[in-house]
Amino acid sequence: MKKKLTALLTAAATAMTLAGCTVDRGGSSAGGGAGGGKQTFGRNVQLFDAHKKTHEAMKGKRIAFVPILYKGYNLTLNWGSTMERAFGNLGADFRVYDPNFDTDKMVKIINDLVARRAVDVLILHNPDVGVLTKQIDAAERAGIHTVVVNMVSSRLGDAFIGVDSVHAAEDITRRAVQDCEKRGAPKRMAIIDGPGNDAASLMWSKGVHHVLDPAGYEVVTTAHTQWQNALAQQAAASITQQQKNNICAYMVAYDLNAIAVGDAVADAAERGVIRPDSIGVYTMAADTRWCDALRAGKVTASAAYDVQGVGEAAVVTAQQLVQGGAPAGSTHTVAYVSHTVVDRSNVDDTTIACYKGR
Amino acid sequence: MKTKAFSREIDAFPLTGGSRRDRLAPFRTLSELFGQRWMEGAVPLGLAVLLSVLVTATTPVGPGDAPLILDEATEKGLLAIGLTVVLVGGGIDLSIGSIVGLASLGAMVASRAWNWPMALVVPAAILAGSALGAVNGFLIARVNMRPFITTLVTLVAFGGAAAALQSAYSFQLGVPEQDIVWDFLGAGAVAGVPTGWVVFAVVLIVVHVGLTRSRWGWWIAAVGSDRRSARRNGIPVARVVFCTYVLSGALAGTAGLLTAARLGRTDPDVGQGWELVALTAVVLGGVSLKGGRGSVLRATVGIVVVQVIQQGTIATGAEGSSYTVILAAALLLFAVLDLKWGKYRQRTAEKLRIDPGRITLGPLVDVTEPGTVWTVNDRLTDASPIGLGKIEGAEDCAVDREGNMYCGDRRGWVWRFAGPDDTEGEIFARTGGLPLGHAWDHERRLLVAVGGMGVYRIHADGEPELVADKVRRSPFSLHDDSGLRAVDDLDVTPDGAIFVSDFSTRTNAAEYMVELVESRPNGRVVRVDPDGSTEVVISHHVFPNGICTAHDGRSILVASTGLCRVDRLWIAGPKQGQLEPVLENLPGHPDNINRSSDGNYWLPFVSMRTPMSDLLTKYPAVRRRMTQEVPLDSWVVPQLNVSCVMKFNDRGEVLGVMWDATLRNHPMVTAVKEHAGHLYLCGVSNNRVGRLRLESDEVGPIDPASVPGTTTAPSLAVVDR
Amino acid sequence: MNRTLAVIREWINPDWARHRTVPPMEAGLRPNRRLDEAHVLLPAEAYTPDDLVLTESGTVMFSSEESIFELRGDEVRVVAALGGKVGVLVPSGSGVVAAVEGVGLVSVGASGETEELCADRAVSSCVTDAARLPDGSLLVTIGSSHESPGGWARALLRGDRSGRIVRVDGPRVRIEAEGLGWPAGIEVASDTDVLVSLSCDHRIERRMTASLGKPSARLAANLPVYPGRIAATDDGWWFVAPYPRNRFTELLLDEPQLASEMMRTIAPEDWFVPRLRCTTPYTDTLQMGQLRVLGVIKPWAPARSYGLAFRLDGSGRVAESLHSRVDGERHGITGVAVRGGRVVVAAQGYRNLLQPQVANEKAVTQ
Repeated sequence: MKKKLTALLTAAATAMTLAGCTVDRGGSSAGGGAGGGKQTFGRNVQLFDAHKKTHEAMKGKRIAFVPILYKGYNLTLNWGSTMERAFGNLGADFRVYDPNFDTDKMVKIINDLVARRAVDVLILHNPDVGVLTKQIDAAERAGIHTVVVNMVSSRLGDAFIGVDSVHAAEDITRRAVQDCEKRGAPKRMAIIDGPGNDAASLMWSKGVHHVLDPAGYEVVTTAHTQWQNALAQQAAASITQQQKNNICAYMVAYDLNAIAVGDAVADAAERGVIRPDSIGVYTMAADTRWCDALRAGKVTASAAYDVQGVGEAAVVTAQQLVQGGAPAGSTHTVAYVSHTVVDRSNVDDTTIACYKGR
Repeated sequence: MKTKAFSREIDAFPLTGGSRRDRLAPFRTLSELFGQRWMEGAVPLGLAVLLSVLVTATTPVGPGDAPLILDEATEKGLLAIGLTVVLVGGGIDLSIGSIVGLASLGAMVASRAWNWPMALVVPAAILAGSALGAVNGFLIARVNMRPFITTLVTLVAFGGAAAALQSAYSFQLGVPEQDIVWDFLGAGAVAGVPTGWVVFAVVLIVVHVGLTRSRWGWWIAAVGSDRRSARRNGIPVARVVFCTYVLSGALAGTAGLLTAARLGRTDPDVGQGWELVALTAVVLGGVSLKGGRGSVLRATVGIVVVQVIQQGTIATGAEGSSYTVILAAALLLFAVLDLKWGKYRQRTAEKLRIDPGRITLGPLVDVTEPGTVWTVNDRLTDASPIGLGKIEGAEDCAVDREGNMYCGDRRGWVWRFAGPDDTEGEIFARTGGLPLGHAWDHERRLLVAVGGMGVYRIHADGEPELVADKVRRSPFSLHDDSGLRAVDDLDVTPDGAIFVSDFSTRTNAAEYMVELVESRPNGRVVRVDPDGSTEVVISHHVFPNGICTAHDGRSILVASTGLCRVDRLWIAGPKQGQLEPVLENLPGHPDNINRSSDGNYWLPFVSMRTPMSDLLTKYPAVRRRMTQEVPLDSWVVPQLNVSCVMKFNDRGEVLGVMWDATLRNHPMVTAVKEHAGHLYLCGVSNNRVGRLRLESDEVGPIDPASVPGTTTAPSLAVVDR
Repeated sequence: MNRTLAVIREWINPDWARHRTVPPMEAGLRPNRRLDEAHVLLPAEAYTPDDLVLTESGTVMFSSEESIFELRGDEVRVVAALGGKVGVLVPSGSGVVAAVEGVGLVSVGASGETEELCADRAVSSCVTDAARLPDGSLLVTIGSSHESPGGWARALLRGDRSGRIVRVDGPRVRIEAEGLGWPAGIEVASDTDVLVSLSCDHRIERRMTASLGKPSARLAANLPVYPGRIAATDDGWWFVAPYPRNRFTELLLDEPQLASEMMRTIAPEDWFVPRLRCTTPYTDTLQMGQLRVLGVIKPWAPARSYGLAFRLDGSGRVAESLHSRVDGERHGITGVAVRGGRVVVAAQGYRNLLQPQVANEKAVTQ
């Protein structure tokens, strides 16, 4: 009898445990989460009402920008100052959280904000395609709108704003091929990107290969530098040392890394490892420092894109999401800003090149 | 006439005249607390808990953060558990963060790039972690490298391997793999509790039980505390150390798997810095860095606290680097505290052990005033010495019918002197303790209260037999007071029970002077029944010393040395179980009481009160500082070099007092026994027993050595009181 | 608050702990039994000698209670009976100058004629010692401006620092130094300076005669005893120590509440301070080390009274010392006199004069 009782109890306990086992703790309903409000504007609007209602809608809303790097990087500083100005003018409560390149910390900050429901709109900058998946999910469930900038995440938030990296990469690679043909250099290039598993690097590689493969160019190596200048310089120096004159150009994914690569190439030229001006350095985006390097002749050309525009677009999107009243996660969009190829000849005339931090 | 059992024991605390607050001895409680073994991790743990409470109170961290904290805590907690086991074994493992990174990346690579089924990936990750731990273990246990440098090297090596792996498979890693097992591990729940927490809880319980209650766990602790002794005792040191590193690696592998499932980070920095967090948590929790001691439960509390602090810094939006600074500062502080605490815990406990209390005594009689019953005289000076130069410290003696005198010796012996002319004496018994009170039982066998050991009966051939040495332990006492260690005087009642006084549950018999300085109600009176069972009849008495069965056999006289009084405990009759005073406010500190032949009682004083010692009883704080700052030789105690013998009757009247005015022959008399018209004077610091002839009008017909109420004692009517 | 800080400091680093302690008697002060073995000069318990002088003719003149006596061989005769308790004696010609409590400085001739030297209020109370300077004037130390000579214990417990050095020139007095902690001894060290023993501060100082207000050098500090009168010899100076330092008394000094209640409620002879002799053992208080075990009190027990006289040589080192330890009775040495090779001490606690054998003893007949 006792054994039977024990067996029965064990079975009951197991059943209860198994019943409580779920795969997904929160049970997200497909698609929409909570947090819908009503629309701010109807069909018509009085002139001065528009102004008042806009302010009312945005006043006191808490907006958080969590990039993977902030202080010292013009890219995100630029966005941050745009957002600060705009949201500040509207009376919204805007804060930047700087995890100082620590992905763990970035995840924790976002988790904390979502758990405490301390924000209404999250503007994210995903360093790794998959890492913010769960966070975006949780934000949706908590009714927080998410806007992802510049580096796409596999779980889309409410909006993504960035540059068409593939197209931009194709453009600059075509330019690089042109330059190489003009010089009659060997048909070999090297790619230097970031961590390698983030959106920017993946798309840069894709775009470069799109052009190089049909053209018969060989990608000698793809170096991953974690966006670190030192690593980029090191990689460039060692590849130059190995390849010597047998390489035509470096395709660098990040403009600041391109400066370092340019330095390495110039240094190699000085030491006589390669002929001067025999290797081109091509990149995407054009920071003001990159423009200085361009004028100094260290780097060759870039597919500059409207960095400022990304920040503005994020501001605009945030306002639209708030005023639109739709619940978080009900809409998903991907939008691109403009880009063009700049080199020494047109860099001073192109507005979207040489972005600064403020 | 069987004595009925007492319904409850008598609490003699009110005799001290103190208030309820005086029952508390805060320093002593602290001392007992510090002396407990489980207090080793107390200070760091207490401070860590305080810190986390502070963080919760001062930062926006709230209940919504709790699941986040626990999620982080389970992953790093697995590391902390592994690290604790390694630390207890005397090593250290700094490579656990890199193992986490390698296992996490490896699991994701296996799942996304090599397309292994999850049923293979999960065990493979844990096995991979164990294998990496085994590398550590091999280098440390077999090749005998130093743990710190070895694990530092493997930290770099495994980190490099992780970076290489990530670099090689960077594109494939970027593609997330949908799998139910990943979801279950990362976001699922078991019976409503998130999976990670369940895994952690199971591991915690298993490792805790294993470490504290299994042979393997004891071996780990043995190796950690003293390798050489462990090896000499046959413990396979190398194997044990190897296994600790394998376990640490396996747990790190599990943590890597869990973090891959939960966060899915694909950059090679996964796990970097986690070893620092785990180390901080482990030290915070109170695990000793020196090895041999530690508990995974404490490490768990530590990791929870660390996570709370981290959450606090995040919630307040603090700069990234400041958190590391805070963590490092906390680690430093707690490491210092741990070191100090480990070194000085016992010493602090010793320093605080004596916590003097306040007692209230009445006004002091001036014994130098001529013409009173107390006036100093010379009656004891000429007592003829027995065993001069042979006896060392006879606290009490007993004389049998033939006139043989048995007395104690501080070397643990019981002497027997055949008569007054016997100058040599012989060692009758060797007790191994400090023989104090002597008495004869119903069958005329010698009962001796042996200090430090208990109540013994010594047979005619000199063999000691244990009668009782234990009582039931007090329910709320931190300190184990179940042993009878300071048994002083004893006497036998008509029904065969033995009443014995245990003057202190805290000091041993040889340090009675410390007890005099402390003056706390640490003592008790115990009844030993003929079948050997014991019961405490009076508790919380200040230095109960002399025990004497009254002449009518219906009460026991109890002398309290500390309170300078004698009380009567009724054991039969209508007032059974009550304690009533007989003599109060004596001018000295009474010692053993014994019956006289004329129906009265003899009471010697072990020391006399002086104005200065009376004043000091009112200043317990000064006495405490005295015990802590002044060397033992300079402590002020009552005047132990002066003593007298008093005779009193059942009504509490002082009938006569005898002194040795020269203070040389009998400077301290602790017990007197009367036999055949002579008084035997014993002193616990004296080198003789004095034999004084009494005047004829001082002697009566009763045999003081017989138990009253038995047939050998004459009836009460004969005695004229 | 200070105590808590001290406890924390000690807990953090035991090397930072600072505790009061009584220094041990070692090196030159290593205990011996020379006073116990010394020659007794007077009949037992007949007099209470306080200070003494060795005259040129070989007699001993000593003060006891309110009179001055002279010991010639074995005979004692009264020289003069003065109107108050007589303390320090300073040789002056064939007679002495005595300090009489309540009167002042009185000159006493060899045959007993008295003449008042100085009756100034400054020197009429609590004179502890006097020394004659080369120019003939006297330097007198006053123990305390508030106490009588028997109030040393009260001065110690109260932290009394009202002692003075006074120069007496005929009837004129001049206060040379103030604020001293019971200066108990003064003696000429050289032409330009004097030695002063400060009892309550347990140290011996050298002071310039020209500027007695401040010390010029410390000869011995942190002594294990409270030093007393000084006698100059050709190889240094002899000091007496009437009171030994006791660790519990030091504790008492740190406990003002207990000390004040003790002074209020207990008779002065029962106070826990060092004294010249043990008066009544029945009301005396014991320290644990003083317990009589197996019939003996150990000689190194904590001391409430002690017999000590020691000689400092020119460099301040203790060259030799005479002790009567705790198990002895010849305690309370208050005066010393040296002439030729002969040293005689006045043991006020033992109530006798003692003549020990000394190292620099030349032939007594010298």
